Amino acid sequence: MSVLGGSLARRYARAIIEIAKEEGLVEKFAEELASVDGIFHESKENLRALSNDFFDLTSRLAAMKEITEKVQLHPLLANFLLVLVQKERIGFPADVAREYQRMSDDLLGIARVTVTGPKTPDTALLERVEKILKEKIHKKIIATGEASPEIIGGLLLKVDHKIYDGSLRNELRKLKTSMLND
Amino acid sequence: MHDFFTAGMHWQILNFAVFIGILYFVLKKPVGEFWTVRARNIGSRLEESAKLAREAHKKHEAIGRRASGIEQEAGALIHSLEKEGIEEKKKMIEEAEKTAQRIAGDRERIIAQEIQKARQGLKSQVIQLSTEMAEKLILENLREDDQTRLSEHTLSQVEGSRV
Repeated sequence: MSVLGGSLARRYARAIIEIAKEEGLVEKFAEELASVDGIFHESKENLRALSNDFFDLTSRLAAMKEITEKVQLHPLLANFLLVLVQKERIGFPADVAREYQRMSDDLLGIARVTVTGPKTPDTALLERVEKILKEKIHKKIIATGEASPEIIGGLLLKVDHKIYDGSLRNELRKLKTSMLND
Repeated sequence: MHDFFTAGMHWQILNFAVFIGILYFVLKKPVGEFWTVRARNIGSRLEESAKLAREAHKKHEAIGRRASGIEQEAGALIHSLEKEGIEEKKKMIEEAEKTAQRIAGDRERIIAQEIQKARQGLKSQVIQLSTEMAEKLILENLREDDQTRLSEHTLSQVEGSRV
C-alpha cells in the first residue's frame, strides 16, 4: 500500500464509518466491505476492468452497479463504490476495507488474532484462543487460522502488534542463541 | 834553471806583475765594496733567518701548546663520546628488550585471539549443524498429539502472560 493510497484509503474509510455510525451500520458495513474486498480479491480481472480507461466510464459504472446489486450492498456503500469508479480510485478497495475494518474494530471493541500452526488450526482451537484472549484483553476476539510449515510445531499468535510465539522454530532459535552465548 | 829564466821571461813576469798591480789598483775599491755589501747582506740574512727561526720556534711552541690542548680536548671528547655511546647502547638494549617483550606479548595475544576465533567458528558450525539435525528429527518424529501438547503449552503461556 503506497503512502498516498494509504492516506486516501484512510480518508475514504473515515468518511464511510462516520456515515455508518450515524446510521448504526458499522458492523454491517464492515461485513459488506469485506465481502466486496473478497470478490475483487478472487477476481482481479473485474477490478482491472473497472479501472481500465479502455472501457468507457458509463460501461464501468454499469458493471459496478450490477456487482453491488448482486451482492445486495447497502445503497450508501454501493454509491461509495460508484464514486470510486467515477474518480478512478477503484484500484484500492482492499486498502479502504482494511482501514475501515481497523476503525470499526476500534469502535466496536474487536481484536483480531491470527493463529498460525504447521497445519491450519481447527475451529475448536480458534474458539479456545478467542476465549482465552477475551478474558485477557476484554475485547471481542475474532480468530482466523493460518498454516505455515516453517514454524515446525506449536502455535504463533498475532494480536494487533503483539506476538505470542510458541513455535518450535522459535524454541530452536532461542536454543541456538543460548548455546552461542555460552 | 838558468836556461828557464831567459831574458824574455823576465819581461813577461814584469808585465804580469804590472798587470796585477793595475788590476789591484782598479778593482780594489769595487771588490771591497762588493764584499762589504755581501757581508752586510749575509749579516742581515743571518739576522732575518735568526728572527724567522725565533718566530718559528714560537709558533712551534704555540702549536705544541695547542696540540697539547687539542689532545686534552680530544681525550675529553672521546671520553664523553664513549660515555654517551655506552648510555646509548644501554638504552638501545633496553628498548630492544621492551620491543621484544611487546612483540612476544602481541604474538601471544594474536595467537589467543585466533584460537578463540577458530573455537567460536567451530562452535557456531557445530551449533548450526546440531539445530539443523534437531529440526530434521523433530519434523520426522512430530506426531499429531505432540502438536496438540505444544499448542496447549503455547495457550497456557498466553493465559499466564501479562497483556
